[in-house]
Amino acid sequence: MDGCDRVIRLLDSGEHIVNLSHSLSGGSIPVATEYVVLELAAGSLADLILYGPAFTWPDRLCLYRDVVKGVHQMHLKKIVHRDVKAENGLVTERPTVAKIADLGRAHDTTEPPRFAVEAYLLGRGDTRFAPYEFLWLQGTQDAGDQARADVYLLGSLLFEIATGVALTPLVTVNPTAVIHAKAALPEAERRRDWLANIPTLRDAALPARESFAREIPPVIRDRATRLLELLTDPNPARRLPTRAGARGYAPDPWDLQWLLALIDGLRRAIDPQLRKQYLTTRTAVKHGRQRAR
Amino acid sequence: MILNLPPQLAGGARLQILEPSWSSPHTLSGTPDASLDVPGGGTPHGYLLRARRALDANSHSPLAYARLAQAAQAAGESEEAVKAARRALELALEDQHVPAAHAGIIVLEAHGLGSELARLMDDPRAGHLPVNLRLRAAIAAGEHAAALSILADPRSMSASSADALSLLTWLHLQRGEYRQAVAAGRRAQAAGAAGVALYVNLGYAHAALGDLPKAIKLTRQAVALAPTGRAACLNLVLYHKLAGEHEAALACLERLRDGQEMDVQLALATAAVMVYAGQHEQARRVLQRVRASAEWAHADGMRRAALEANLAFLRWKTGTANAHTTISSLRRALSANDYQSLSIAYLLCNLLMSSEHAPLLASVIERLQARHDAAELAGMRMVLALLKHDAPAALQLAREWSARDVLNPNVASFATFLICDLEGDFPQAAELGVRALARAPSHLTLLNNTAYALALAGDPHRAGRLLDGVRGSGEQRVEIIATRALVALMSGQVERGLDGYRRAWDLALAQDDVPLADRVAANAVLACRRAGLSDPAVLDQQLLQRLAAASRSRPGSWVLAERIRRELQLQIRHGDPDLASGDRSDFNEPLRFPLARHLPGHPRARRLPGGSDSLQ
Repeated sequence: MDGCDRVIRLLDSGEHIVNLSHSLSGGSIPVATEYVVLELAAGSLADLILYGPAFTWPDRLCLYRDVVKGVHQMHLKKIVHRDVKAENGLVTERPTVAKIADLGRAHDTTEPPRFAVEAYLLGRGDTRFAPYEFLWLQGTQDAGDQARADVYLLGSLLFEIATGVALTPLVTVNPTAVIHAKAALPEAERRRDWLANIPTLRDAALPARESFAREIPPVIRDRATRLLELLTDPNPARRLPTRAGARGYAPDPWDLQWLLALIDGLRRAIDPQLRKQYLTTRTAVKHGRQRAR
Repeated sequence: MILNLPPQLAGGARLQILEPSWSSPHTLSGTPDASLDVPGGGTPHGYLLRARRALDANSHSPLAYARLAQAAQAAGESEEAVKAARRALELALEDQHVPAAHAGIIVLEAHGLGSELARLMDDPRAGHLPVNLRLRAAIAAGEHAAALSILADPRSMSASSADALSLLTWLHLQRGEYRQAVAAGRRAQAAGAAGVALYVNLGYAHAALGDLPKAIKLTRQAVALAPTGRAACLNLVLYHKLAGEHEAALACLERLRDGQEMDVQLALATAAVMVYAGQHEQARRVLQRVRASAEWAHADGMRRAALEANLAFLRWKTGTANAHTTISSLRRALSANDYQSLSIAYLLCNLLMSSEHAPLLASVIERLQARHDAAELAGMRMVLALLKHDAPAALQLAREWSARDVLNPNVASFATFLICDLEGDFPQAAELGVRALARAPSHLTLLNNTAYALALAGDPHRAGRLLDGVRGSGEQRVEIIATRALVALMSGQVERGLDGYRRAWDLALAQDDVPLADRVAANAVLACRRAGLSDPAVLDQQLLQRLAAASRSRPGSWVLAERIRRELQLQIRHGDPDLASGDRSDFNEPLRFPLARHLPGHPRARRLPGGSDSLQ
């Protein structure tokens, strides 16, 4: 905000009035407004992706974690984003942090929806990143389903950060055409068609995962690929980790702590400095516990 | 005696091979519909603008082109998407950028430009692409041989992977190499593959090889993985149907219905099972119910046209509509879906029996050619050749059709029939029939025609064993009785054979089907000739006259006339009310036959009481 003293003074004054010009009369209409002060971002993750190998893997995972954390914070307030993609991950320079932006499609699930589901799905959405169920006009009625759609979008972002391209078209070939074809079906048939296509989509995602795996450093390749497989499973109910032997356990789609922990694991595996820090901290904690005993 | 061919319902379930896993069946090829997303005033989407700006800043980046291609595709800007995809692919090959190449290939494929990918087969730069991408490009370009060679290349490390082997299974199926498909499928299973598509395709390969129990078992496994998946379930229904397990087929359909109202697709599949079992009236009622339900209101134009066409056809089969009305209804249905439905066109073929229908069928084929592969029209062109009395063309097309559509018993029935009666190559017809019968053991027409071919090929005992399996109402079919008579004659049981022909003839007359009775009589004459009976028969003038007249309106009668011409050297002049003239100089001297005195001058006037005691 260097050199912005006047702006700061104006904002401090509490005069939240802007003048809207009225073209017919030639005059202007004063309107009281609310305002938000935003940080100036240097760019988006989409810009960084185009740098290729210069955008290092530790940086990619660090910024990815930032976005996941942002979505996690939204989820804690039961807000779904529904439009997570690299373009909406704004990156600031000092410090280098990614922040999830563009909440135009976000929705507070504690409040009733403002638009009909179809209006949302057939609107100006970017089908390149749409979760598969959205293409069948499914997964938007229940708040939990919408949270799971965000989980897919986080998987799609991981794919985009690794490969630079969108996942959904690689699996469905032409998402826009699919959504329009499915929109023409009666609702019951569309539902049946969606359920019937889940196994096919799972198979169809294999080559995309292979392309993904080739872009990932070997040291984290298997873990990252398994994570992608989990996050982008066509069946929304299978996008969250399960606990071995825990029958009846229902993972909470609003809690993304597990994902943050997994990303931290990946970061430590690829970044020796982080690993060293982690081991030091862990050792210190361990010694502290022993001393306490 | 050859059975007339049974109808096959249109628009219902057809056997499906599932495409490779990455090419999902719901994928729509070609240019997408005009995007509903495009805002008023033609303002481009924000994401498209950003992709363009990113490209301006990175004009040599394959990734920037790939992202623009995907963005433009999503925004419905086809031209821009294709242009960017081409450039992305080119730069990706230079820079060895796999994701950009992947995106470029997909966008080109989505716009129906798979043929452009053929050049990748010869481009050494494509060598760094993963096997699955090169395979995808080869298949999108229709280069199945190239795809097979990629998989056969030992340098392709992933060629032994489960995915590659699953794909190899599919490729072999596409090429009609069923044994190789089974071998590849087994290797894929051993490598850990267990997808729905693999089980469905392996099931198909086993069915094509005539192992229906194995096909059913494998397809059940596919259904277990995807219980609501229609492709696998409907394949299972068809295998049960071919195996004669109609109750099991209907039970599968009931499970698929899952307590919901029956939709058009399920109704057509249900009706097809019923028609196969000879229950035309029940099939009609099923379709009629759906016609009056809410599902009809929600169905798309294609499904509605299929339902209308099938209903019209079944009304004709059950005697509630005449052929003329039915032909009009089917033509309307074809026109309603802009000649996109091949199955409705094949349904129409069942009604086009007269030579006068040839121009109509020719015009239908011409319209279909604009929308379908020529090979898919082989069956229709064969019917056209029959209507035009072009024996060599009919034979060639029947062979083409049967080689292509191996799991359609109607096709095999046709081919067996034509190879027998038009060509007289009974051993070949028998071989074709026996192979096809393993795939559809319950198909009465195929079974009858195969037994007929076997009997004439000198294996009446095997023919008899086949016919022993016919039970129930099938036993009372004129054609089955006549073929049993042929088998008896060829086995040396003369009395039994003649008695059988007599019963078949009586039954045909009792059904008021004079042309059929005439065909029984003519077949009896031919059978006696072939059996070497010393006491030849009379093929009387009136019968030949009727046969000559019928050969214009029934392809079956024309084919029989061809056989008479070949075996008895009698030339039946089509459409000549005066009859039949002979190539043989002694034509006017009638052929003698033990049945002669009973052959009808006029069927009603000369009708004799049934019973073997009246024969000799």
